[in-house]
Amino acid sequence: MAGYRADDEYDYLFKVVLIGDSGVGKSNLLSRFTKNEFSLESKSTIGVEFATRSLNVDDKVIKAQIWDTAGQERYRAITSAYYRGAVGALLVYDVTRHSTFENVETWLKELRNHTDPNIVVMLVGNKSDLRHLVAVQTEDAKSFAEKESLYFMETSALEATNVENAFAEVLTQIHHIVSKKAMEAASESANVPSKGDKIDIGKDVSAVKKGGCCSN
Amino acid sequence: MVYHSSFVDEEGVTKACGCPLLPLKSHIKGPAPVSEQDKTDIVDEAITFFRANVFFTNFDIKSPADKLLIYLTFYINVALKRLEGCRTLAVGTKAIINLGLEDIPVPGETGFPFPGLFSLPQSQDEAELFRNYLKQVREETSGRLLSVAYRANGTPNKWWLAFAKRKFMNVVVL
Repeated sequence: MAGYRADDEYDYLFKVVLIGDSGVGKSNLLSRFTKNEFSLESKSTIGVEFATRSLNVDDKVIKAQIWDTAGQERYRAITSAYYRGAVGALLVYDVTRHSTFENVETWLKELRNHTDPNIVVMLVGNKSDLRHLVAVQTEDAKSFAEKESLYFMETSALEATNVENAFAEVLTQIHHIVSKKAMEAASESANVPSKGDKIDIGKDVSAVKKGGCCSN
Repeated sequence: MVYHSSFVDEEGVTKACGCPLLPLKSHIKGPAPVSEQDKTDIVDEAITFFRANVFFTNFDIKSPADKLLIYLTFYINVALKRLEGCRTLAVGTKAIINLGLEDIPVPGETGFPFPGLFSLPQSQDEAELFRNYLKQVREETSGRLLSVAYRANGTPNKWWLAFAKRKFMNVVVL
């Protein structure tokens, strides 16, 4: 039973948030990754949803907790609780709608305002299957991603192109950062014993007055 | 004896509906002035005093800040009711976010919990200013409440969630 592992057993739980304009395909990216499902029905997300999926990274079980929210203006003031504790983010735009790419900068500011500077961010150009309708050139997006130190991929939730890769890449990078920090913390704690004061065991303890519940 | 807010000095503080718009240690957008991170703000007080103040059915108001404290004590009570039954931090977070998306009534509107506690807004601008402040302070309160209602490993803190069953000032919560 060495290979057996309970469904809810994991080494790391990583919270990843999906952000971007309404209609870019955030919810389908979530459902494709967590349930391998795609819905052609374009129903707007109300409030927030989250789903989880576990995968293996470097022999560790990573439980990914992926959060999805509405992109409409009405929900734009989504509460800070959505971002709280997130270690990764997928910033999604629609390759067929240039305005969704233009708003990426606004979403990035919002993200930076609410999350740790070390968060792993990937710029995701979704709907890459609609090749004849492309309005955002790959090079433009790649250039923006490099400038902002973001990872970048183009995906198609419909065709399941690169969806797995996008999430796996983000989770792998998060794991690298977390592992590195754990290693640094371990090497620091290794120095602790040498800092301790010497314990003088030769000290005479007989002078300590004896007392207790059995004393006369 | 109930715990009172220490924000007694009103000099220079903007008001809406008779409520001082006290500073918050917050990145959340809104009309509240920004407080320094090392100071206590009204949200800290509301959370710190909650488990004592929630037991009282009478609250003698000593300063306008106490009115805000009453409102926040009520809000924490409402939030804990939403968290009741949420077995993980993630489910609790989702519930609290949904609470945050609901409309926020101001004095004079249906659903405002304490008629007479604050004065009625004299203009639409004042109403919106107060609504925006309440939205901001509620969201900040929610975030910090999640930190105390759930442990670091994401499991509920029963000493906090037990207060979901309390009713504050006999106000019925739907």
